[in-house]
Amino acid sequence: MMEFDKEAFLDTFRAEAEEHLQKIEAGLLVIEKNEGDKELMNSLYRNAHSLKGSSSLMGFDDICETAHSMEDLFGEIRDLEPPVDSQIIDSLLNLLDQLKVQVDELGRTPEANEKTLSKPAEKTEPKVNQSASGVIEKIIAGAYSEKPVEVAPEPVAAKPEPTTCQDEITAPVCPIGAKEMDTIRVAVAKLDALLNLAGEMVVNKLSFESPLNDINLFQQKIHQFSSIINDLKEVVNDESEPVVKRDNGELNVYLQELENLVIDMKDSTFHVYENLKEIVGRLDLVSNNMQQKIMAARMLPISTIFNLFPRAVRDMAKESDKQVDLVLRGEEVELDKKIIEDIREPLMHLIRNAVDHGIEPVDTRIKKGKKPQGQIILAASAEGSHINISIEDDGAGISLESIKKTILRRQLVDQEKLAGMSQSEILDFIFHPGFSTREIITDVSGRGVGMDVVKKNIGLLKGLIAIENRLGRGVKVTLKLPLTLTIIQALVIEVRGELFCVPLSLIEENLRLSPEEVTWAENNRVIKLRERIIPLVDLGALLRLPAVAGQDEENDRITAILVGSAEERIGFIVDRLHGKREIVSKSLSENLRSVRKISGATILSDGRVSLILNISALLDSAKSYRPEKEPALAGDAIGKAKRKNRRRILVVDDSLITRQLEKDILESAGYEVETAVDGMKGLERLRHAKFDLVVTDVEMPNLDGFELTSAIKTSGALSSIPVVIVTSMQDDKDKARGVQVGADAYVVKSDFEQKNLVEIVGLLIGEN
Amino acid sequence: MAKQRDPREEKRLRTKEIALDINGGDSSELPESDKLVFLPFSLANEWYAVEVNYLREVVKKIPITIVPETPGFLAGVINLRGEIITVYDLLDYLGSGSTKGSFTRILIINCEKNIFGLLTDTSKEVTRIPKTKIQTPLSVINGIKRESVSGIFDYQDKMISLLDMVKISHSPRLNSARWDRSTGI
Repeated sequence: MMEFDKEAFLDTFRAEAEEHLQKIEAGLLVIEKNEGDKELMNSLYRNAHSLKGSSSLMGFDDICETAHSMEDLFGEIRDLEPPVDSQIIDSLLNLLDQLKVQVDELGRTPEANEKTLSKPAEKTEPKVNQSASGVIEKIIAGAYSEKPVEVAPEPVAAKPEPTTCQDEITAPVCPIGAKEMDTIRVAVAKLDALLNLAGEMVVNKLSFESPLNDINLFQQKIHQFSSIINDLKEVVNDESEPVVKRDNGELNVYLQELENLVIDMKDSTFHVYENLKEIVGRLDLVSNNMQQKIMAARMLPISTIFNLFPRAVRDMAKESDKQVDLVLRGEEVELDKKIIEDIREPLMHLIRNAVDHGIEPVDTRIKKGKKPQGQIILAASAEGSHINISIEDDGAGISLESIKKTILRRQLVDQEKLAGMSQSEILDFIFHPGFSTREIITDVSGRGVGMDVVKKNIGLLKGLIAIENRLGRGVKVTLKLPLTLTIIQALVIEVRGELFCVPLSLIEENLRLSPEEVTWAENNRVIKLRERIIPLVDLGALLRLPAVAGQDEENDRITAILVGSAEERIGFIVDRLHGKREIVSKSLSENLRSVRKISGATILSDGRVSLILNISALLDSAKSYRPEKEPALAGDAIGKAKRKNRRRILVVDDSLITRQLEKDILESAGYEVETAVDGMKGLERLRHAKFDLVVTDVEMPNLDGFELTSAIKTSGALSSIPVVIVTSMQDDKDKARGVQVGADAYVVKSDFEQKNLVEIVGLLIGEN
Repeated sequence: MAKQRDPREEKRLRTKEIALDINGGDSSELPESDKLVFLPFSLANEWYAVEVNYLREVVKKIPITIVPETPGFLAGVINLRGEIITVYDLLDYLGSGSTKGSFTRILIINCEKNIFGLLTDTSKEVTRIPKTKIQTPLSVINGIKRESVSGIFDYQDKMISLLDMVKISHSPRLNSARWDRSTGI
């Protein structure tokens, strides 16, 4: 099975590898001419690195090895000043030729292919390192001793003449040329641009509607006009009551002319209307067709990523000494390339979770009476304009107890509130930013992808994530995603006078409710729909839109859209619905892209901007939404109500500037901040007032940061306060000391960015 | 939909022409680099100026779509010929009130590739003055306003504050990471 999958990937891999090699070759030639810069060097490094990665994934160890050597060599020289020694270039070109032959061989000689495919990866592991470093030493040494270098006399390099490939001589230079050219590689950006244009066309086509209506109206006016002329005619010709003394004959001539004119006008507007209607109809057909075809061009079968997982699962299982069988279903389902790319990481994370935390070790499974081999089912299915992807394992499920413990430790909610929470509410906390059980955070990048990031990424893709926990029997995570991103079917809704778009694929149904159907439960409006209780949340209040006076009085029926997964549905109350529409998603300015409840924007046919709602984020927000906590009038008063319960932070630093800087940063993130000039003063403040977190420098008079941390952590009353050490000391020894004295996070000043600090603080005590 | 000529370029040329017309005689003896070319505009009876270099165009009042969960100084987004542009309420930003109800024009700023809009009540013609006339801001103004204004000068009996566009467009306050989201958990 595994070999088969790789076969399917061979072409993709080759195409990609050839692209990397081409870039490296072109880049090396530039560098040789001394025209290159660091940026180029870095990009070549990345090319080699990517090639190493993908070849290792495919199990092509020879290529991986050579690419690794190349990557190391690039890494070695990329910090050197521009004039790169020509011998190093030669060495790199040698490696490049070697890679070309290796890549080229993949498709050609079935035996060699078979050999590389079936070769177990572990065996060559030490060899890779050895040869890589060996090559570099040789090359670097060679480069400076001005002796000709002989590069890596590896078995593959032993055949430098490309003529080895006897049947196809052109191969090494232009491997693609040998094949029939029935496909062409197009940059995704180009397709995107086309798709965007097609989308614009579809939307612009909609703007025909209003002139068509205008013409229709005009027709009616002409109709009225002609009936007035008729009336006038009657009046003029009424013998009994001559209103006009003058010769009626003359008048009648004018009237006749008018009438003829009106008939002509009627005819021509009728033709204009009918023609235009037909043209629009045809345009409709063509533009829709075009849009679909372009969209299809960037759709890929989901097997493109699914097929990466059997190998990954095998390795993960091996690492953790478990037996796991991965079952793939619905690999043929196609979806947008962008989505495919963007769900790769989240899926990998979810699968890793399933293997690491879901599936039990073999003996535990046997004890529980389960099959020794765990099973993970990765399935995709298309459903209308969206796709469902599920990851289902038959492992232990998620322990609510351990979630509760972490919730309390992180002070996300208090004991009392926690006790009143439902299972699904507690389960939801695994999506909370930074919800991890890791003990110390040394830097932000080291945290890896957590469930919060998975959820955020799915939300950005205008999708939803749902988790179903069957304790003892496993976990099923379901992702619901649109088939495509650029053009989506949306429902336009009106909330407090503003128009928003909601992806149609995320709406279960539209509800029209009479007031009698709505009841109150625990301060929430709820309805009963098909034997289920569904909470209703006012979308306007949730979005904190300013109230529009006297708007909803006239209409006592409630309009709502039903969203969410099968487990948890919520009805969002809206003012009214404005119908379905195809919309083109446009990008917002950088700073608005991270506004959680919004996933994009579009331009409606009247030219106004309408925001696309992020249903995933809104569902989250709705779950924790308590109407009584809301300020009566939202809008300008945003955040005012939050002031009362602010988290308090103590900043300890002997430098006035650092103190002030950190204070500013934390205050603008909404925390209340006090400062102390050294460890001793800091400790004093801590004993007199309550703080939620301490940020401290290391080198300070009287009591330094380590001593302060240690004092906090060993004093019973204060030991639960998280401590963040901020310092210029980057030594690993210092980091280790930080860990040893019990610091919760260690931030180095050189990579100290305000976002970094705020993020870490947020992780430790929650955002304000 | 797209126009033949780039409207930005058109606008720029036009504003340049106007500027030349108005102040042709005055300070022409000064080299161009010693003059400040600016657009004066008012916000709640106070006058501000933005350097023409940073001004892409001035557009008439068009509907603004408000964005939930953003600070008050973020007025919303507009559609400018298919491009979605974020618009700020400068008066709110400076902590002196709000122009959301009264604005009549939107200045489209292009400052070091940051493109955004600023609400304004009224704007006058593009004008130029010798740079020597610019004084450092009064010591009485402070806080965010002091940071956002790089100088003040007298023009036609008005005291005009020259906005420091570079500083404003890079202000950390515009960074959403620092906004009080006040949402959910």
